[in-house]
Amino acid sequence: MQINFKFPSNRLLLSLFFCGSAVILLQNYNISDNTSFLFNLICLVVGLVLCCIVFIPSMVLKRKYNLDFVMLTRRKTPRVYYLIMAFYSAYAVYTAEYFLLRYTDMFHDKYFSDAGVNVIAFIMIAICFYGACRGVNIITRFGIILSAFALLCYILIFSGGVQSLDFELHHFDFSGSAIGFISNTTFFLTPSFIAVIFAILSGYSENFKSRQIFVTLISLAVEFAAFLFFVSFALGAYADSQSYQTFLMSKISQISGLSGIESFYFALTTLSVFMIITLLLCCINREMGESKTILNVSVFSIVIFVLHICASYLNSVGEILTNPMLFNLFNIFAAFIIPGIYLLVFRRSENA
Amino acid sequence: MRKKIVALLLCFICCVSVLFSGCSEARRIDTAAIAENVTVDTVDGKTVYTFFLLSSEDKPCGIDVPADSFEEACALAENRYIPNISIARIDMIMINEELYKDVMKSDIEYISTQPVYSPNLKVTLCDSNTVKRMKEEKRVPEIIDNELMLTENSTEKVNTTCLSIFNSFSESNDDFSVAYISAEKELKIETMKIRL
Repeated sequence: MQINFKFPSNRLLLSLFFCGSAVILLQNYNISDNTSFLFNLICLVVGLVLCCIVFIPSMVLKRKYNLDFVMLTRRKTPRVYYLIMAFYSAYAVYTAEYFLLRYTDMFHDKYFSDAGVNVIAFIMIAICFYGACRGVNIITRFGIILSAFALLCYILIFSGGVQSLDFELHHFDFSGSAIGFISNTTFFLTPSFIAVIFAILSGYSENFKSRQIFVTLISLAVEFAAFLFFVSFALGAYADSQSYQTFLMSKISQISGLSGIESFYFALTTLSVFMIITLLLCCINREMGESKTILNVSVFSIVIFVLHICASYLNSVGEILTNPMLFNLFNIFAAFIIPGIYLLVFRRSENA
Repeated sequence: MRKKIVALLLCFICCVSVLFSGCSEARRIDTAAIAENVTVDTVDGKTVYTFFLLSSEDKPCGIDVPADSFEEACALAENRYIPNISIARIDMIMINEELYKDVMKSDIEYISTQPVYSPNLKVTLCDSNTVKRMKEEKRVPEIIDNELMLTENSTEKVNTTCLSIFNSFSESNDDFSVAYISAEKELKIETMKIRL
């Protein structure tokens, strides 16, 4: 499976950083409300350290052997290649649903309750279909522009929220429980899905350095910490009264009387979900063989859409598709366990 | 060939987007009744919520809705009194000081659960003269707004928004200061300590 073009690795990781932002933007009562900011900060650090560990197999593969997981599987186990790739395609569909369902729920809940969620999903999937047909190279180039837009949005949201900070009412205390620690750490482990995307698409990139992954994760940590800080010290108890606390954060932001910054939040969330689903469709295309891009991408786009319809009508399906524990288990399997096993076997055969 | 397929698909997506864009239930801006301010007062022993609508008339356009709570008042306003009401632009709620113990906490709790209202929605106490002046003079909300801005910038901490009042009664058992508008002689803002 030859790759005819390569782009810089930092471009891919910048796009993955943008994808990881969706986790905090679509946060909805995932963080326990009885835990303080400092406690959540510790959970955040632990969660992202675990994300870093999950990155190790794909990082070693890329750094030492300049391979991505797809190439490795094809080389070492050609007979079960399609079986493994079927698992990764199922993973990609699950991850796409995980974020798409949250996004359509946020859209319906916060902006336009009369809108049909399936219509929103259809439009989003259609746009992602087009993006995936264009290829990883163009999408990651687009990711640079989106990251600059994200930076602008964060500056607006945070600088606009400064006036609402209240250090008299909210304190830097430390409170939490063991259950809160497990629940919050599980949530902060969610960005590990970018390790799976990296494992599959890193073959397109060149000039990879290990520190790029650390920079990506540290940037995500800083972003998450900033949102946690503002939600704790600007929103306080008010944050527990509505869903999607980050949306609420953008709603209180005002710069010299200029409000409406929640529209930037909405644009940012839409674009990050678009980037996630497009990159996942690109992953599926890479797994299935890039000779039939439109067929691969269209089939799985239809699968994602049909699953979304099922989830919108059947609560049990929706609960499975948005279960954070299940999602993290999937991430660990797809990014750490399976590539880790392949890497160990590959290294043994190389040494022998 | 591939480009044609992609172009066709894009056209299809555009058509579907237009069809499903949901404009069928849209409201025209010139027929929408945009509520800017709300006052809570007693009339003949009953609680009345007065919705002041955006208008180009010289006199304020206020519509009285008798209700026991803000939630009930909004529902009645939409269904019966002001059919095309738009509540997303409500900037300020002024509650008569005699009523605040009955309605303030429940109304603020209700507002905090609704995504349509901004957490920066201003909530103040006032006397009956202020409500009377709101119904007679159109410039009153603007004067109050300017005075509130000066109050917010003062050294003493005064809770003027729904967000800060909600947090004050949720997270603290102490009295806290809110803005109180009096219009005995001229409009002025003082602070008043309350506990909810």
